[in-house]
Amino acid sequence: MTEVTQLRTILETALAVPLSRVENPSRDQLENWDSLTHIEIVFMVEEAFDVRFSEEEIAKLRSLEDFIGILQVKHAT
Amino acid sequence: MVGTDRDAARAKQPVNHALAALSARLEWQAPLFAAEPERAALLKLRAPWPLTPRRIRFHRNHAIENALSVLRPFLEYAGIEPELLVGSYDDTLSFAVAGDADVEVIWLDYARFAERLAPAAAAAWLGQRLEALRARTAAPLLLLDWDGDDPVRTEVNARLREVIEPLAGVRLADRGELFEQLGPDYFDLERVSATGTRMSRRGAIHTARLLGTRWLAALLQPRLKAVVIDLDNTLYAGVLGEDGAAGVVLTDGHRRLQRELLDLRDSGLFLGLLSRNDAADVRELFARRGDFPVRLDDFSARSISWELKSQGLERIAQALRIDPAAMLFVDDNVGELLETVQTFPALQCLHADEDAHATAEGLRHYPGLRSFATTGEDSLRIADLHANEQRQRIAATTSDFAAYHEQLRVVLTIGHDRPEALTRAADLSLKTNQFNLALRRYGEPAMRAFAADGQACVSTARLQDRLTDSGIIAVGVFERRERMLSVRELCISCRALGRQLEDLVVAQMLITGTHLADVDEVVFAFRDGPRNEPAREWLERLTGRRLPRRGDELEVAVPVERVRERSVNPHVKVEVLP
Repeated sequence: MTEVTQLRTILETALAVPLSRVENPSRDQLENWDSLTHIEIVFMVEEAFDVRFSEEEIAKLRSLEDFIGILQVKHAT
Repeated sequence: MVGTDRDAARAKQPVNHALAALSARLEWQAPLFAAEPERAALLKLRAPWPLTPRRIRFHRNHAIENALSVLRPFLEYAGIEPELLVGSYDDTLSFAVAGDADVEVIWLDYARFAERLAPAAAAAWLGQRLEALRARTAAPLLLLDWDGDDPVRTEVNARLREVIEPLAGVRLADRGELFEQLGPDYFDLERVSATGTRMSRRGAIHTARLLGTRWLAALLQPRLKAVVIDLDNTLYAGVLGEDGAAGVVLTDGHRRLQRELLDLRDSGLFLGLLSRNDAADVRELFARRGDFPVRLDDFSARSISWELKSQGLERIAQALRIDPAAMLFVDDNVGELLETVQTFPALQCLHADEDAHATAEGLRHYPGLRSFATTGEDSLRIADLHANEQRQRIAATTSDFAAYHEQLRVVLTIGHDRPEALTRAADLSLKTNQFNLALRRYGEPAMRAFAADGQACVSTARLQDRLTDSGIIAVGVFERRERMLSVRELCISCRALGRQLEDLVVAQMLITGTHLADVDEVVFAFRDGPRNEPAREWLERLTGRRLPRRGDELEVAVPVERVRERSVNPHVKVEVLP
């Protein structure tokens, strides 16, 4: 499973909605991506990719692309 | 399809459902009992087996949602379909909404109190708030213990235990093993603004697991009564018949598993040994392997033979006098688990993993194995079972029950509305399945309310003989209604059955109370349950007639004289507590 597919699965599990037709799911588009679900998503991404996000990073993460970007940075360092 | 084929197909349905449920439950073991459970794996689980709906209300002052989101699979594994009612943050514990749930949970971030209150003052204040909540609901209250640093945590928790002790039905969830296991990782102080709690990601998931499988399961479901375990590749690595007593291996995981078993035994659960092996080989194994923490004598019942596991399990159930539905069977062979469930669809099963640490973790977290406190009654149960073997020998050598009672020097002690007996009275009402007439399942707050009610009475019976003290073995909840006495609840522990004392126990509880004067008849409430056939048979003998089999509750009237007739047995000493 690619990193993107894995992230999409996490978002679908946490948000309980299919996202295959949404190119870049984001907090602005999805009503149920609230602050509590956001922490749920952050925790699941941390578990799946063995990373840890700071408070500032958690606040900045707002979409699938944000997660892809930050994981690339974290894996590169 | 002809009628008989249709009947046969219908009869197979529960078995097929049980087999399907077992397959699913075996798949759940890995995500539920993992050393580090993963949120994504847990959130995907959906129980295909029947669940009992329960409302669970949370009173809190911090964000617990990230623990509650993973609580559901653990509760579903325990057979509970949770409806979680989560109040808004409230440091004052005003309990603005309460009273409509099956259990009320108080889950606080205590750091917010530690800044303002000394430990003793914090515990005293919490005690007052719990008392206020207690007055508003009869549901069990669960307080998660103090989560600060030691030694303050130890001090506050000791004080909390003191303040909740006089309150009925209040339990303290001890997170000590979690703080020990996770250490400082239980908390995540760097991200409090983002998460809304000091609890870490790992802290949340591990707490959810104990909350679901241990604390809430203990409050909402009857406790299991026995763990029955296989030998080869389960209690140790290897096959006794091939590797020999010296050749089988006690890995670190198996040592841990055996210690878990001993912990469960010490907490009042029976251990059973069920193995397809040669009995002499098994005796030699335990004689030679001094490194095994568990000894052959630790198993209260054993079935070692080449017969089917279901047959052996039945033998163990008979010896322990418990229903297979109250047992957990642990075996490495999926085929043998399926075979036993085919015969006993309600049997609980745990598949023994090749890595015994995983099996030990399963035993640590299996719902229904642990209660909040090991009571004196728990330890009496095991001693009593061993005494039963001697009782059976005496019964075989005596001519009738009069001689049997006389030889055993049976003493029955009756108490009415005794405060010290009410916890056990509730325990009997909640857990007794076989001799339980009305299955009303009164908890401790309800028992206390009946005891305080001038028109009602909670009577208990304690049974002793020269072999053991069986403890309190029966409870009756009686209520006066003009010239009639209503028996709202009547339970006798299964360990007291078979001694021909049921009539005497019930009659003495009834006639020694103050409520039978000027009463014409006693009206027993009765409802059929899955396992209370012994109660039905007793009531039919008392009334001298067959009772209709209906789903709803029956009221069965018996003339008071018929009860009085049964209150005499010159071979049993009866004492009534003042």
